[in-house]
Amino acid sequence: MARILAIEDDETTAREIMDELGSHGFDVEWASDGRAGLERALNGKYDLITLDRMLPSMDGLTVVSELRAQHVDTPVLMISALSDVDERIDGLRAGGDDYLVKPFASEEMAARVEVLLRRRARSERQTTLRVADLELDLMQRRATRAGVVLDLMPTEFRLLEYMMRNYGQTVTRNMLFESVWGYHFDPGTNIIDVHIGRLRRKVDTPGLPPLIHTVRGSGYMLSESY
Amino acid sequence: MKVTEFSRTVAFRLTLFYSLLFAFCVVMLLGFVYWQTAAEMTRRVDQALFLEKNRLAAVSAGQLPQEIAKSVRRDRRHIYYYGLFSADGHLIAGNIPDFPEELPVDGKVYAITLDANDIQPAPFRARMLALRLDYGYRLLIGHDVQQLTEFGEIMRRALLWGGLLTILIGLAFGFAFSFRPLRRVKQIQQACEFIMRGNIRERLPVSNQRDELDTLAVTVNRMLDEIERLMSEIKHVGDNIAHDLRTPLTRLRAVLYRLQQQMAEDSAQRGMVDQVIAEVDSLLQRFRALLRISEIESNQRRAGFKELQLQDIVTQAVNFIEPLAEDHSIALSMSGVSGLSVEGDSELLFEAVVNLLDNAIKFTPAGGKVDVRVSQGAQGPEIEIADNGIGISENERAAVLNRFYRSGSAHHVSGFGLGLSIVMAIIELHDFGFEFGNANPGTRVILHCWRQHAV
Repeated sequence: MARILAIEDDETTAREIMDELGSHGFDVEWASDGRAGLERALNGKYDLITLDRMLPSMDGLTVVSELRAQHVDTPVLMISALSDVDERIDGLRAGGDDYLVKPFASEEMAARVEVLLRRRARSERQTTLRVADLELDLMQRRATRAGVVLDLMPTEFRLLEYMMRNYGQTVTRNMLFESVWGYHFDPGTNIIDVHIGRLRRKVDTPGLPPLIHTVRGSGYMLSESY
Repeated sequence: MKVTEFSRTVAFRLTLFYSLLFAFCVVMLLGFVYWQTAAEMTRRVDQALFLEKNRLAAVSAGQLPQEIAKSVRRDRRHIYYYGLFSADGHLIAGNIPDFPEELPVDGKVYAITLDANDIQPAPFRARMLALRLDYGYRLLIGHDVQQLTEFGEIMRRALLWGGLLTILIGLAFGFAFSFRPLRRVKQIQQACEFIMRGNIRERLPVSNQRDELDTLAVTVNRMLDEIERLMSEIKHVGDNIAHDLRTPLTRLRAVLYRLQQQMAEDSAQRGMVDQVIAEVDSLLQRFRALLRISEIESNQRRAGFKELQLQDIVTQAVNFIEPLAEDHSIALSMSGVSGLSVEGDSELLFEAVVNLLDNAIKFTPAGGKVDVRVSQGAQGPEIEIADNGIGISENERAAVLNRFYRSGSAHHVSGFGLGLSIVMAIIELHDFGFEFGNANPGTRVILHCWRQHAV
């Protein structure tokens, strides 16, 4: 069971994080200010830290750069009320692994936590991704399902790659938009759904067991069984 | 500027009025001088005549013809006239052939006009007096008033030309004086038009003359400052509400989500919860869009501007939206030149183009088309998006740029009406231009991707 440290000064938000991550089966501990949080992060053994950007006694940016300076490479999910691009860049540059803007939907936060935990566990150097009979050759940019080559657009390939890297995990529309297009605004309409729909028609052809599943209210998941 | 425009200006009318008044005064003054001078000249002539009369009256009757002849000889300038007539009207001595019948013989001076029969050159004007002597003899003494006539002529000419010139100069200065105020009024008018088109940051031009136009412009500018302040205050209140409501709404959604997860897949309640979550999501999206606008408007992103390839951004946006067009059975096409670079924020420009494309697709019925074109216009790079959908009427065009406005004919289309507001905020941040072009039927929007104002 993964251990998670939530460094968050607002009690309601902290409660939310603990409840949500708890319901996903994680063991969550709470630190309510920057200094105490840093202390525990340095001494305890955690698999992930959620870190508020603005904290009493020591702000989030300092906490994460201090952690990295001490060679603690625990994944850090920065959470901030500041949605500015510069803020995001600062957060990631200081050593954060992902950046979530407040207020957030709790399942979005949980999905990001799971993806971060997962990223740690897997090797980034794979050249072939494989889920059931779906295969993605990253070198040749080629996708096959049950041995049949799929005719994918570059965008669809990147979408599938992201979903396969995080198979079995819920990925939200925002996460897909951020990782595939590299932008951080709210695309507003259901364009992501349309893109997934298109990909789905190519991957889950009739007669084959579906691999791309819709997770109600939050996003999508690529997995053999759902 | 037309002549009628000049003639309607206050400066022109004032100048014309003053020059007319001045011309009138000049005429009055010259008239008075003429009148005074003529009276004085007449008085002197009359005095000379009286002196002459007294002198000749003292001469004895026998000596008179010789004395008269001597006087005529002595008068080298030929300004005096003498005549000694017998009772039967015969000239005995002097230089006047006939006695003018209209001259009373009473020793008083009269103004007499002689005709061509009497003397040359004619008509001849003179002042004359006549005396009755013994035996019915009559003595006539006259003085030429040619000088007075000439003086009068000079005066008349002076009055005519002087008056005319005054009025002409007045007109010329009237035009000259009204040119500057008229030009400034034009500038103010243009600035007002610009502000009315929604450029609330614009101000009226103020010169350094501190005249009444400036006073007015300064007052109007202060009023505009106040309007802008009030507008931003209202916007600020709106943003605060959006900001404050977002957190409780997010928590509400979290609870609903948990409820949803705990419910049986096919229960009737779950369907209801799904619906409520969708509503909350749409509310949250509105608030996010509102806050997004104020974030863009805060100008902080300008620091991150880079040189970008316009074609790349538009291609990316077209690729992003393309599946949506396909879903709506709309033919999305793109053409254009590459190598056009602009200064800007790639994410924001992408967002703006995506929003415009999204709108074009939403408001075009199935089977329609949306064309995107990137081109080098006369002044700089342009992005043109044209569809053959329901279109926007002329009088709706300004309104659609307002927040939340949606075309009356578009109520069946989903969307929050904030898309164009976000686009406008992005355009304003970049100092780009936005224009509705002509497309019949449909909508054509053109983005002018160059700085509209000098830095």
